Amino acid sequence: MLDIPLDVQANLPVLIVLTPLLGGVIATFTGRGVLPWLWSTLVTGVTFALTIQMMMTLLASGEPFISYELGNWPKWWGIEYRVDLLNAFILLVVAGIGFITTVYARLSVQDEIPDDRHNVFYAVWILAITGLLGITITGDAFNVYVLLEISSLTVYALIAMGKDRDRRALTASLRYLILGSVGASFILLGIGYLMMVTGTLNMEDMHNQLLRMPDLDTNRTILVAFALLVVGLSLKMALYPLHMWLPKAYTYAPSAVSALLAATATKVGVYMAFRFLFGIFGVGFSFYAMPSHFVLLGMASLGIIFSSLTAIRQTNAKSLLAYSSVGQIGYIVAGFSLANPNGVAGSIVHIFNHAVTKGGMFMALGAIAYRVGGTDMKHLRGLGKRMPLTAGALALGGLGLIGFPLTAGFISKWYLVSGALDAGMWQLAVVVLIGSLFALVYVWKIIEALFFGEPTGRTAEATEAPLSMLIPIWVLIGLSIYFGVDTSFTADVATRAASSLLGGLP
Amino acid sequence: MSEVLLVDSVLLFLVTVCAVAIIEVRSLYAVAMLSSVYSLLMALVWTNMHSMDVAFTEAAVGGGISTILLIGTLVHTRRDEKPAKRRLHLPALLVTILTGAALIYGTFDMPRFGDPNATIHHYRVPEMMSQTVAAVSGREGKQQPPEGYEAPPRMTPTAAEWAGAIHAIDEAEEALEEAQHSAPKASEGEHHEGAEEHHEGAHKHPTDDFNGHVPNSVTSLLAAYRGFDTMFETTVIFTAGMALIMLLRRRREEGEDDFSQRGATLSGQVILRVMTKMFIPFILVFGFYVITHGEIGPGGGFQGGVILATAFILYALLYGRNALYRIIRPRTLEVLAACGVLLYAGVGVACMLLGGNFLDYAALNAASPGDGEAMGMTLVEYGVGITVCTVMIIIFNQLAELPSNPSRRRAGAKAS
Repeated sequence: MLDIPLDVQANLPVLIVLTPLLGGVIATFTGRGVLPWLWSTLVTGVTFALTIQMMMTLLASGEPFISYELGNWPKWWGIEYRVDLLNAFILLVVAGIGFITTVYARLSVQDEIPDDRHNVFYAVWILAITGLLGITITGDAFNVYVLLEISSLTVYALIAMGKDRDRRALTASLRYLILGSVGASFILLGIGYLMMVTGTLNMEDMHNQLLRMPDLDTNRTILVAFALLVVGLSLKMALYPLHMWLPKAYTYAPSAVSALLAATATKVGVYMAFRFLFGIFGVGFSFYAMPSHFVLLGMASLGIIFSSLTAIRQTNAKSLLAYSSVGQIGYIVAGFSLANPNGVAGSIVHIFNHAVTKGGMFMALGAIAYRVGGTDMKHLRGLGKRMPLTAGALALGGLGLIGFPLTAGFISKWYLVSGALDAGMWQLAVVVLIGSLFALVYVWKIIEALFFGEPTGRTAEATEAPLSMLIPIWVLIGLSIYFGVDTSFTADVATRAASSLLGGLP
Repeated sequence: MSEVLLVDSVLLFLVTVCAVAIIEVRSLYAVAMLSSVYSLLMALVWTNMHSMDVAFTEAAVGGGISTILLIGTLVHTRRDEKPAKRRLHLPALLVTILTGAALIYGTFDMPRFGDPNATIHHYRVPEMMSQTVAAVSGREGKQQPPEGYEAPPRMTPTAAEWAGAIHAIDEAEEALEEAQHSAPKASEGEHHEGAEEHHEGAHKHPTDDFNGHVPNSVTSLLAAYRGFDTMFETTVIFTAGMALIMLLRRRREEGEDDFSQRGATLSGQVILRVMTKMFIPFILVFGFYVITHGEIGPGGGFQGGVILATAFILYALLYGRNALYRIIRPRTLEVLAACGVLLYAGVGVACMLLGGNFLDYAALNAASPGDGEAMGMTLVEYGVGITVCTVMIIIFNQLAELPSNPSRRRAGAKAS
């Protein structure tokens, strides 16, 4: 062991972001062949280990949060990293999914990306993960925006890399670029307005300054800042009806990219909403002074119903799952807009549950694309016989989407419905029920094609997916089952994080 | 009506005309030129607001290099926009008007422009301007100034007070110098001279007054207080370059060289050739000047990097890209772009290895933390400069790289 005079434990928060940053930049030096993938696996693996260490340190310390001042500047003037239970949990999800999808990516990327630019592809891939981790860990409002730029830019480029398989990836990416830039500008303007009235960028400081303002509820600059942030964040997390960028982007992106995005990108958007609505503005302003209950709950309910209906009509399995993702974001948003413990906990736990379920399902579709060459329903027909393990993973994941008991999806919906009933919103419980029924229909479409069709064309000659894909797929699908049975870790973390969010701690 | 308002009104009018023209004009070449004009006008707006660094960036990036890049993009497109049927899209119009109205509505409760009583001026900033990086009264590290610490006056409402303040500072400095001359070997222990403590082997400037090192407070904000943000901004630039390489580079076989592309050069044009050759050295020197002196005047790594890049791009425009590749190979550019970010982050890692937090430049020079700060800031500015310069050249190269399909290449050549 080299004797490095680096105090890992003391610098843990910054190392979580610094490792993938340096790793991503260095990945451009790795040349051709298998080396770029090996390097990326190493980097994301180390990052994942660091987030686990972070979580354990936090739990062991018993403190509400761990703070790290970058450049050693006092946090009001510099930038502060602040890890509490909520973002330690999201960091764990993002880094974990990042690691597993990287392990999975090797064959899929070999198949879909020209081999002279694998090093650049993996560099951008790791930087995308860096951006998402950076947004999650920071306690500084402007730092959120800077990292948002990195994650957005990398994601646009990654989606566009689907161009060699289908040119429509380019227009899908351009559409996301335009809408995403509008969203990001709104977020930037919102942060700028807030800084103007509070005189600070530190989230905690901002919150305290806002609370000190006598005219908080009537100050027009703050009202507009709130509106800008809500619209910008809704665009980023693809809340209905601002989801238009998502379905095509997920459908035409390279398979591995779809899996990474579906599992992490919109979730980090939701996390930003947590920080801004609960942390900076505070529950009282966001949910009682402002009509967010009605707007967000309304949009979420419409999203659950309409995007599930649209999902049923899709003939491409990837695009079906993409529309289903819009619906799932609806559940997550509905949960936190209830602003009560069960609702918020359901929202947090569903971020994790949906990430593992959808990540696993998109990876399974990627394996099918690798063997069969496409993900249309006609490609899937009869695959249950040719690729039983992949098809089985897809089916089990589908049960999770419906919210079948003993899957992780059931736990989230349980919390969500309890939250709705706590708030006296039985209508939401009905929406959740209808959404689950629609999910049953679209999942059945996939299951029917997989297990009750006759294979034709390339499907007939397909063999089971290679082990390097099957293992990551089953790890995620396995997790979605495991956390449906043993909920102690996720539910406990989510409940505690929810109560700290509702307590207004930034 | 004050002069400032008058100038602003005229600029607003011109900017609006420019924006409408950009939307209306169908010649894409004219659009590129108009957007350059737009940026220059915006640079004037920033100047009028006294934000010189922003104005400089806008002029260098918006007015300068992005115009070249936009024109470079024309190689891939036609020269004119396709005529499109104009229909009134009512929902879009409605959303736009609503957004605009909301933005104006939001300004009603904003503090007035330049209001000295605005929260932003008195909440955290005054203390920040008097931050110290080294020991004050025996306490180590970056800190809030102790009780009784008199911050040098930085924001005073009247000119008379300004003059007074400057005079006071001058006097204090003279007194300091005298004190240093009379007692060059200061003994250990606390002593307050304008609340500044001096180590042995006296430095020219006080060791602990951070702002004394960097007169341009924008640079100290960007490179020190919020140096972490700037590191990621540099990464954004790097990412943009990598994304373009990933998306636009022609497929290359292993070992294939970069000289396969032909293109017309302008090297036969005597006037252009002579003028370019005269300009390039000055551009390069100015670029390095801007990077190095960002701490004193407007400028820094971003602006300087862009200026350096224009020298290379000018060369490529005149002699063709093959000539540029003979000076600096595309692979070298990629490596350098990465090295810029690595230099920035590497400085931060060095700080951690020396026992500080990430990017705590003060750790670089334990004997004189203030000098450590200055050194760290200069190094990271060079990191920014290297990445920005090389990525701009990469973007130019990638935009000029024609698709391998011969028919497209001919169409592209005609357009250029």
